[in-house]
Amino acid sequence: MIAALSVAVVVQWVLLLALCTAVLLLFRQVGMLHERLGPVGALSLPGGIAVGDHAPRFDLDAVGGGTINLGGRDAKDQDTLLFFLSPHCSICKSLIPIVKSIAREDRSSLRVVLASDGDEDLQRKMIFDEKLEAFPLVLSTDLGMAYAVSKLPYAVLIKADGHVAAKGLVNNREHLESLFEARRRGVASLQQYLESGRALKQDLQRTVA
Amino acid sequence: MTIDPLIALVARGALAALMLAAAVHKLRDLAAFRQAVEDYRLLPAAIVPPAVLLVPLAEATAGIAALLGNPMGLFVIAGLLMLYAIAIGVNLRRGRSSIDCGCFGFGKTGQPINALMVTRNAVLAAIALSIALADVAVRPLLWLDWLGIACAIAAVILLYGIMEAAVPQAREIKP
Repeated sequence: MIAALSVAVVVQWVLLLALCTAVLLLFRQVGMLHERLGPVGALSLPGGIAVGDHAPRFDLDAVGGGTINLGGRDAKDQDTLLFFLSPHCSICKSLIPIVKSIAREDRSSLRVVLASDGDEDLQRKMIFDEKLEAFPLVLSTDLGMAYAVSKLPYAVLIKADGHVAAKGLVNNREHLESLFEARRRGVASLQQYLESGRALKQDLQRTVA
Repeated sequence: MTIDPLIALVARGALAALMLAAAVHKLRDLAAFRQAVEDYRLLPAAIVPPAVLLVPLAEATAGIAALLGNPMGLFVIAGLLMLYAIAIGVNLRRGRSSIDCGCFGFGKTGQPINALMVTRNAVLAAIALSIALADVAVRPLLWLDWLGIACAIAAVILLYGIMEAAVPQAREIKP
């Protein structure tokens, strides 16, 4: 009996220590991943309004009623994610669930506005098919021209104070999230991030050495 | 209150290990620690150089004393931990939350201070105090006890490392 208990205790200690070590190593690896995964960077296309500029003022009628104000200080102090899409663009459709989940996660601090142009019936069908009723959709060619949107899906993140925080062509979740990452770090582009990253890496190497 | 010698020895060993590791960490980079002490803006400039040496020496002495079973060691550890908690708390009150904590963090430096550190230090100090004040029962210790003590101390050290790694990551994810 005593022998059995002793063996059991020893085995449990060994397993417990192994488990603790594994968890510690796991956290270290997660930490390393965090350092490697900087913002991937949405592809920023030349032209249009630059990051850091004031978003131009637009008062647009939403499909299905209501007016959407873009630009200037937000009345509810929310950031705005302007998501350009079209009923014909299939990558846009694959991004819709991601936009929805980001909208859900940041419900209190983010307003999502969809932007498109062209035939209104097709737009209504898209809203119905993709269940986009929760988000206002504006149809405006001028809006697309102002941001020089030449490829879809395209997203612009406007801060509550009316400045453009980040923008770019978004093809996947990482691209879309990088807009928020860019806002958080205050970096305009991937190039600028890499520049600052180089300084950071030198700092790190010094610490390790 | 009477506690089992195994519990007392584990607590003593783990606290001593923390203190010794902290002392070594500070002594290895005294310049960085000096910078951290200055950033806390609590001591007059004239006292900083001796304090920078005195703190790690006190940590090491208290750690060794606790390991050897001297009850004073645990009291000093509790005092030091409370001192850090107060220093961090005062600076958080001042709104200076971005200063380097200057504390031991498994090889990492430049960890900013936060409210959790105040709680952590207070809890550790409370443990040190209660172990110092408690009556430790006397019973013969078997080989199984010694194995348990060694493994438990190792597990506590690993868990401390896990906490140190996990908390900043959680902050990184949800800023």
